[in-house]
Amino acid sequence: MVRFLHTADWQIGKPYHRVADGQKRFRLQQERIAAIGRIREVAVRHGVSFVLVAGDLFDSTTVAAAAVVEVLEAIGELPVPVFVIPGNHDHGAPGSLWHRPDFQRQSQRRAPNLQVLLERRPLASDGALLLPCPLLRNQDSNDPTAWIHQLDPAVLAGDAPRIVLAHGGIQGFSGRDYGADEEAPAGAGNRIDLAALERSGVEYIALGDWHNGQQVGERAWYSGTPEPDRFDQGENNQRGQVLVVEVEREQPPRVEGVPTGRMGWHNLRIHFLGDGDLERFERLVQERIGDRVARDLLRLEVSGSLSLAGHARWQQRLEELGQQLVRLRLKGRCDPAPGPRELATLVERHADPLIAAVARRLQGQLESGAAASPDGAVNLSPDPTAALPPVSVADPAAEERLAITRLALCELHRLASQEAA
Amino acid sequence: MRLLHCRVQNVRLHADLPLRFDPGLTLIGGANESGKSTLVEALHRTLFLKASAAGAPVEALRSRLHPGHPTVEIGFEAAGDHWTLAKRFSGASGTVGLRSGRGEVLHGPAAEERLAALLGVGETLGARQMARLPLRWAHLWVNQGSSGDNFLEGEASSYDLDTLIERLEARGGGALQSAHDQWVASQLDALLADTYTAKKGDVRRQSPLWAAQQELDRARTALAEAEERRLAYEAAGEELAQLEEGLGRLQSTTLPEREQRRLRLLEAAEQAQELRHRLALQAQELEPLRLRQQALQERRTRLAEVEAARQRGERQLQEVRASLQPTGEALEALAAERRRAQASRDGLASQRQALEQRGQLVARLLQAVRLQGERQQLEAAVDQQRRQRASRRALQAELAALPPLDEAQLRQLRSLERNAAEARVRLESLAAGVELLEADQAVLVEGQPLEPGREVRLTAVAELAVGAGVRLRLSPGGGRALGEGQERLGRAERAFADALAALGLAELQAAEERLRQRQGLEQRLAAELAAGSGADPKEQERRLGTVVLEEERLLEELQGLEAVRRQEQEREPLPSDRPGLERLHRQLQQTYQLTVAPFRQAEQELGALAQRQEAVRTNLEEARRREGPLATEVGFLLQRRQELLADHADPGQLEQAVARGAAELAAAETELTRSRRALAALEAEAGPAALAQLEEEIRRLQQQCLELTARRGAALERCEAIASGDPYAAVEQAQAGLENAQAEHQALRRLGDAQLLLRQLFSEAQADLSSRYSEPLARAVETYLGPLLGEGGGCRLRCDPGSGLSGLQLRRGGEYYDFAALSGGMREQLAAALRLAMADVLREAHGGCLPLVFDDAFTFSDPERVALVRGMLATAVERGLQVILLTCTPEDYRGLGGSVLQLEAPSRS
Repeated sequence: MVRFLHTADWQIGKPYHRVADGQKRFRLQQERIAAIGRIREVAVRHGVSFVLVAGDLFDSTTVAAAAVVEVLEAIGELPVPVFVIPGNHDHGAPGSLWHRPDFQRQSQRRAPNLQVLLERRPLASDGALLLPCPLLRNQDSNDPTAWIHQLDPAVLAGDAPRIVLAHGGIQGFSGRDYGADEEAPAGAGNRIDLAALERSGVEYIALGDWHNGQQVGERAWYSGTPEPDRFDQGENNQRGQVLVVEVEREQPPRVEGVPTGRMGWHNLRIHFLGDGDLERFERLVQERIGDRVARDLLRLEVSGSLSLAGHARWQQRLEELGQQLVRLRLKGRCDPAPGPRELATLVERHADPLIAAVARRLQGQLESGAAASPDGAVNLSPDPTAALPPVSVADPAAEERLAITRLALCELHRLASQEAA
Repeated sequence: MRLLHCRVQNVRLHADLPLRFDPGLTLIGGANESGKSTLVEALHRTLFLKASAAGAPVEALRSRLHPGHPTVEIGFEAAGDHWTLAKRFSGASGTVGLRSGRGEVLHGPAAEERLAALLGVGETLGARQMARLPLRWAHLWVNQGSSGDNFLEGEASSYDLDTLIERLEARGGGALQSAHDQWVASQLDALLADTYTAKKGDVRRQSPLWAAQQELDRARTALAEAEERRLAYEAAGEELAQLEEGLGRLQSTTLPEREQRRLRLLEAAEQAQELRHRLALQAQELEPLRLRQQALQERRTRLAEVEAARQRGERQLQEVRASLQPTGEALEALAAERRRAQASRDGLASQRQALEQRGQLVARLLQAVRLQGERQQLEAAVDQQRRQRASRRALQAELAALPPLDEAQLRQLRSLERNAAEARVRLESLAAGVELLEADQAVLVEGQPLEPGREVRLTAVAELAVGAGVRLRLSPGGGRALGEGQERLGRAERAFADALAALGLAELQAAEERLRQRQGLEQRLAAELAAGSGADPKEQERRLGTVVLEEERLLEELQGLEAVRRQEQEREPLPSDRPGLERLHRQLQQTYQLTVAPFRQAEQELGALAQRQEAVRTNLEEARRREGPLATEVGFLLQRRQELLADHADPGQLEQAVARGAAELAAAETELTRSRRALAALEAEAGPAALAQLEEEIRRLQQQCLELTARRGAALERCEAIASGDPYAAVEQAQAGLENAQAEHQALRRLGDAQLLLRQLFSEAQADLSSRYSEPLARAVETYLGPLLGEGGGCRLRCDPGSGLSGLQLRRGGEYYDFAALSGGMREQLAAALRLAMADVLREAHGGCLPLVFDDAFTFSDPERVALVRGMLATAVERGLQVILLTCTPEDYRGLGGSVLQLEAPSRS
């Protein structure tokens, strides 16, 4: 029986440029390196024989030298061998990070236990037969595991359990482009024929690329990233973990997920029908994040509108959240629009017939616009707290016109409430 | 305000004109120059011009007829009181007095001031404000000639806009924009002016929106650059990988493989050398084998030839010998046959000869008969000719005996006789007849008495004697002519007598008888000659001689054929007549013809047999001649065959030797070919050219290795250079920058759009407010115009609280027409309707009434339209307005009620 630790997608060196605050950005970057320390703890605690990193240890092939040194230092502190294959982000083409003299020098010096597998050939080590499938090119449409099917059967014979180490999407389950801030389908490269791999009689297939941990075959797992690095759709994904795996020749593997993540990445959606919804939003934030500081990132998807006063409060709250959170990513729009009372001060302004007339016109446009786009964001959902469908973009032009109309009403309110000097 | 009465003194032609106005309609009629317009002008100036004013308008009032200053007094109702206004226009010394019904009296400026207030105008006009005079109440009072003008084109105060709006607001409840409204609108304009240019609405430079746009462009460019850099990095990485791969393949696979091939080529070259040696040896061994085989084959060929010739000779010899005996026999048979044919032919020949002799006999006999006939004919002809000659000679002698006379001589005689007769007749015609009818005395003619009843013809001068004493000479024909006639007659009778004498004739009848005898003889002679001229008598005599000779010769020939004749006579008696002989002759000829064909056939048969006999004899001789040489040649060939087979027992052994030699030769040649092929293959694959080519390739590959290494270095350097800037992070940073710029730009643009929207709505709201004032007026105008508008007709105008009323348009048949585009009649009617409508609105501010004055204001209106105008005016009066209508055709407006006044033109003295 061999016990080892399966991890992947460390994405060291991810720049996080969308995080405007330099300190927070640095904190996010550091947290990824700090995760290696937590992996070490898991490795020690579970007494694994070695650690497998199934690709994308680095976020790119051009990671800064300082980060590389830090990583090597952290890996060097692991008490067991660490086997790494390059993934699509840190592929092993000539000229990439792995071939850089500084990396090779520092690697020998600081992490002699690190073994970068740049060739597709079996490697017997610590009672197991490793079948590494490194990605050697940025763009490669071939199945990186194809070489295994051409092996002499004699090579696979013996008592040692056989472990495939690969990175990429599989049939019906593709990886994602984690470089982008938003979810987007990746190219069709590096697609792994998982069914063929399982038929070839290996004991375990250690996969990387999919940042949520997931079992994808009888003997195939994506470990997930040890430290989440982006917002994901939905919650409860198995992110921020490593897998401790026990394998034996001709036996199904035993796999256990062990959490390692520290940063909280949250998604919230809210549709504002009125100022009352601000309280509801507050409750949601409390549930998720509470008063925790500098540990969370929030992707907030908003729609609807608030009164001018309510919107001012909302802006205030957003500012506070921005300070409290590592990152607040706002998506969608919550437009200010004069509330009923505010509107009345415009529409019922008898002394100023022009202002009143213009306000009525704008109000009329808003009402007819809202009626004209039943799927639009201004639609009043019966249950605004429920998980909302994404903000409709059925007719972006109409949506834009409505936004402008609301803004015009706000401007009118602002100007009308000023006094002539 | 309502006019009650007036009194005009010393104003142009009016010395003193008092008038009283109806509260409703006052119709003032009057001919041209009866002072209607003067009256209107005087009232207008009195109401609106200061009494102390001087200048043209005042001077215009002055009368040249009546001394004294123009003085006007007006009674009117205003502000709930009755007022009497009196003004005397005498320049600076002009006076004004205003007295109320309650007894209040005002003079001078106070009076003017009160007057202005009562009339709702700012002030009465002084000398310097004359220009404004026509604008006073221009909307209520129509001067002559200006009825078709658009009074809205004047300034707004001329039609009391403020009061109008005030009244309209009082009616409709709406209010104008407030000061705050205006302030907000101006703030909005200021905000927009900060962002957009006034002219084109472009984004103003240095405005926040402009800056955001610039920033957005910069961010886009930055992202594009970052992406480009990332792509450059990836391309460099890809190139590096390819170079690495190419180099690895070259160094680990291609080059070693080429080197090995070079070694193999060198080995192959050595093998080729060895092969070439072996090939030379094999070629040497092959030559003697080939020579021996060649000799054997030659002998075999010769033997075959000799054997063939010998067999051919033997066969021919046998054939010759076999043919000799039958040929001899055939020759004898042919001779026998020939003899028989000869006998047959001779028989036929003698038959033919007999036939010929008989033919000759018969032919000659026939000839003899013919000749005999001919001779007899000839003898008869000769005899006849002799008789004819004797007859002719007798005739000729008779003719010669007659004296000669011919036709010409006879004609001469006849002519002479005719001449004599004519001369006698002519003489006869000249004669005079004398007949004595009765005489008592003798009457003698030429002496001849004349018997009564008997006529005497006188042909010459005659003497007539009657009785005695009377003698008369008678000259018939004039005297001389009678003599000439007698002479001519004598000549002619002489000539005729001479001619007869010359021919020996007594008279003419004898001559004619002689000529008839001569001609009869000559005709008979000619007939004789014609009968004797059929054949030439000499020729017939000569022919007769010939025939006699031929008969003699034929008789001789017949004597020669005497034997034949006898023979014939024995067989069958020969006919002696000609037809019988001819028939026999034809029979003999036919029989002879029948013998021709058999004879010719026998001749031919005989010739053919002779030829065949000759041919067979020739054959036989030829065979005998060939037999000897053939036998000799066969012997020679047998001897030659023996010689050729000297080394071998028989032809079979020779054949075996040849086959053995051929097999040996073939084996040696196969070996040689194999060696050659091997050498060729080696040389093709491993020849010097192949080796040179390979070495060249190796050099090239090594060079390529060097180049690739250099390029790899460059690519690596490029890779590292770009990588040091972390292109992936740079892209992300640029993306973040772009997102921020986009958000900022969008927010600003949206704010600008919102402000633009606000301004547009403000403008629209302002326009909307204005219609609140213009609409009631337009509707009132439509009410006044009533049926004139027709289906789809209407009226509209704009009202701006600042600049007043404008844009008066009439809609007819769905189309709007500007005021200026309307006809003169329509213009004055529309203007009148608008005046009435405005007065209707304004009258509330003037105690419920305003006076409208129309001075000749409907001159363009036709009678039908005048009826409409009447309706308009009646409506106005009904609604409480006062209308004063001045016209030269007051009858048009009768029936409207009210007062009717007539101005009389004063006599000019």
